[in-house]
This record gives sequence, C-alpha cells and structure tokens, in this order.
Amino acid sequence: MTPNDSYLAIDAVWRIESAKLVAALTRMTQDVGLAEDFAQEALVAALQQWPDSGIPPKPGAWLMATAKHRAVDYFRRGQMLERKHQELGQKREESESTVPDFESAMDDYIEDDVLRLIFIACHPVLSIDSQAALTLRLLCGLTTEEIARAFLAGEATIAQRIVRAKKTLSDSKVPFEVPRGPEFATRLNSVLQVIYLIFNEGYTATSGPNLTRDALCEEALRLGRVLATLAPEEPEVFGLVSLMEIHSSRRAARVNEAGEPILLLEQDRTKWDDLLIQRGFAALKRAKELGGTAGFYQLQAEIASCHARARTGTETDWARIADFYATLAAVMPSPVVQLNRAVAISMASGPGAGLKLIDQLALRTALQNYHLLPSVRGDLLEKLGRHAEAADEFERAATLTSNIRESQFLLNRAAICQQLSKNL
Amino acid sequence: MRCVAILRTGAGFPSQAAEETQLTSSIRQYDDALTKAGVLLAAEQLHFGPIEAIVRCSGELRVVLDGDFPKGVESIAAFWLWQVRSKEEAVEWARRFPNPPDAETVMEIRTVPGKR
Repeated sequence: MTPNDSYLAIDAVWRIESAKLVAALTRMTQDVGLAEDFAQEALVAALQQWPDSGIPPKPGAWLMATAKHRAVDYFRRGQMLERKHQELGQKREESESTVPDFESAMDDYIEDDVLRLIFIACHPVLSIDSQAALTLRLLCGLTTEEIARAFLAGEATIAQRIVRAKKTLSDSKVPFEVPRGPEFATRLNSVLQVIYLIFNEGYTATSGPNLTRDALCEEALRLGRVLATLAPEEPEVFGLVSLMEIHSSRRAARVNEAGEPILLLEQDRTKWDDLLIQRGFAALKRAKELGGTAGFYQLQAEIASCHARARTGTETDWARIADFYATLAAVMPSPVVQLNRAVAISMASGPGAGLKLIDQLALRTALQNYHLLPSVRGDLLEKLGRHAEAADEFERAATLTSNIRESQFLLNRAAICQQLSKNL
Repeated sequence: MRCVAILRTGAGFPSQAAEETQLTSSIRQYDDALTKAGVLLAAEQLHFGPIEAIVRCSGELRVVLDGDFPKGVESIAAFWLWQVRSKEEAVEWARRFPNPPDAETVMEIRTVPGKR
C-alpha cells in the first residue's frame, strides 16, 4: 500500500468508528470536548502505526483501547496534580478529578451512547449552525475542512464554531443522556431539524461544487437511517427518513447538464431512483404504523410520495396533495405552505380556485417580499387569460428575486404576457 | 457511492446444516452492524437455498435446465447493496465479513454506475 492508500483506508475506518468512539468516551468522561480529544489522539496513533503494522483485525476495539489509555493517563495526571495541591494545603473537592470507571464501558451501551451523542450535538443551548457543524463533526466524522467546504464557509470560522460549541456544552453542564418525558419530543424535534437542515443545505445548493454539497445529502440520509435504528418507535424519524429517501431519488433528474435545476413536473421520471423511492415508501409505511397524528415530516413525506407514485406529471393526484398541504398548514402554520396548497388546488381544480386562495394570502405581510407569491399569482392569471395583470405580477416577482437567471426568466414571461394583452 | 458486494464461496465453505445455522446467524449480525451504520440498502443470503433452474442462452437458443443442482466452488453465496462514502469504506466492510473458520471466500465489490 502507498502512504496515500493507507491514509484512505484508515480514514474509512475512522468514519465508521468515530461516532461510537466519541460517544462511549463522552459517557466515560462526561465531557464531549475531552472525549473528542482522546478519540483524535487514538486516530493519530493509528495513522502512525497502521501504515507499518497493517489495519488490526478489530480496528474499532484498537482505537477504543488506545483512546482509553490516553484518557486514563490524563485523569491520573490530574489526580497527581491534585495530590500535590493537597500536600501544599490547597483544598479541592474530592469528586472533581477521580479517574472514571473505564472498565464498565461495554459494547452493549455504545448504541445508546450514539443516541445520547446525537442529542448532545443537537442541544438547543447551541445555535442551529453550531448544532449542524458539531453533528457533522461528531456523528459523521467529517473534518473541519470538509465541513467548511460543504457549508461554503472558511475553515477558521467552522473550527471556531466547533470549539465554542463544545465549550458551551461543557460550561452549561449539559448531561449526557436521552431526555425523558415531555422534553423528549422537543429535543427530538431539534435533532430532526438539524438533520433536515444538513440535507437541505446539500439539496437546495445554488452554488458551490456539486459533489461536496451532494455529500451533505448523503450524510444526512445516512444519519437519518442510523437514527431510525436507534429510535425505532418514533414516527417523525421515519417521516424524515422517508422524505429524504424520496427527495434523494430525484437526484439524477433534478439538474440538467449545465447544472441548472429542472422543475419537478419537467423531470425525466425514468431517471428517478426506484430503490430509494421504495425505501421512502417503506419508511413512510413504518411512520404510519407507529400511529399518532401525522407530524411535519410525515406529511411532507406523504406529499413527496404522491409525486413519487405518479409515473408522469399528469398522473399526479393533486387533490390528495392539496389535502396534505391543508393538514400541514394546521401542523405548521406557514404562508409558504399555504402558497404550495394554492398551487396544488389550482392543479386539481383549475387556476381560478388557486387564485382565490392566493388572494387571501396576498394580504399577509409575511409573504409581501417573497418572490414566489407574485410569480405563482402571475402564472395563474396567465392561465386565466388575464395577461396584463399577469405581466405586472411577473415584473414584481422579478424585482423581488436576487437570482439574476430567475429574474431574467420572469421578465421574459412578463414581456410575453404584455405582448399577448396588447394583441387582444 | 452505491456498490454491490458479492460473496463467492471457495474451499471449506460450510455445507452442513449445523454450520449453516452458525454462519447464517453471524451473517445476520454482520447485516445488523451494516444497518446500524446506515450503510445497508438491501441484502440476501443465497447459499443455503437451492439452485432452482439454469437457463442457458446461446445466441437465439434457450435451454432450460430444471431441478436442484449441486453448488460448485465459486457459487454466489450472498450479495449486499451498500451506500458508502468511498471504495475504502466498502473494502473495510468487506474485511469485516465473518468468514467461517477454515473457509475460503471471495468478496467482490462493484460500484453501481450512475448512482453516486
């Protein structure tokens, strides 16, 4: 093996083992920052030794044993220092630096540890950006550089964000546990939000090298699949997994060769990935079997699955989609959801019905500067043959978007409508 | 990247019922680890099922051979569909296959083209 080959092989082991390693070490040390340091030290040792010795038969156990040695050394040094302090007559609380019980760290606990680690990384004491960075770092084993590239941020910014996040967790004495009782639901929601954010960051990428951003979708989906095995009774986990599977299934169809997005209804559906669609359906089925009222992610998965079931755009069951949007609007009151509902209604019952709903929305201040509102309105007016009004809406939409290509597209539509209105 | 791992049997691969049970359960544990890592998309163990039929094609000609055939060396024992980050990760998972003692097996890793 060349040095680069062995580096890549070690990196692969690291990606598989790092979350389990950091999780178990966090339980032992009760400090995520320390845990990560010990895990990193084990990685450094592997990088020094494995190129010569080869990868050991149980690399995970090797890394864990090495990290534990480092941890024990660290705490012993702490104890020695403390003894010296005591000899000097300085009082310290006894419990502060006892060596943790590393021997009780059994493999059986590790899965629970990973779940606890997810809850720590997505703790609401941190900003959502920090939660996402820390999750990618601790649960996905990404380097600071990789995270920075994926978020189109500077490496120093991300490094600082991670350091601060770990310090905040430490200062706030966030316990290493899966929250119980009513807190569980809100905390789980925060976890799902982070995974969804990471996914969307990759999915809706408008700039940056596509490959790195795609990796974010993949990491989020992987994390969702892992979470589904750790929290197998939570319908919203399966709802989110279903949503991500189905959205991922469109990956090959959603951009053209120039890298420009292709709208859902114009995509070549033969390019959709059937395996992921089937996995999405299965996850949605599981979410429904678990019962309860359909939540935010499950409802979006329902909508995504309506699209996935239609082999052509014209086969889409828009009435069903409109119903799901109505339910979604109740779960998650949002003018954007209402706008989508109006579009679905216009597809199901004609542009007039959609326009009626939109005109109620147009009064709402929340959407005043949202370019999709006049753009959708323009579209419906055009279909109704009200070209002059449509042209006004497209022009307005063009001034509201910051995307030059989109603005140009809207101005073109405005010009066409203007022309049509004069011809009448 | 998506890849298929194909397990081919070699000399010493279990054929007795008792060994089968042992192997089947260790493969199940292996699958379990793959699932918990978010890697496993699909998998089947084939070795302990019979070969139902063989269809030979020669140009336009088709010959169907029916019945339970003995499995030769290099028969396909199992396959997995994995979503991994790199070739190296696939190799690492292949290394972790719980190979039966004294058995020779070959795990072939192929990428599925067009599926990143």
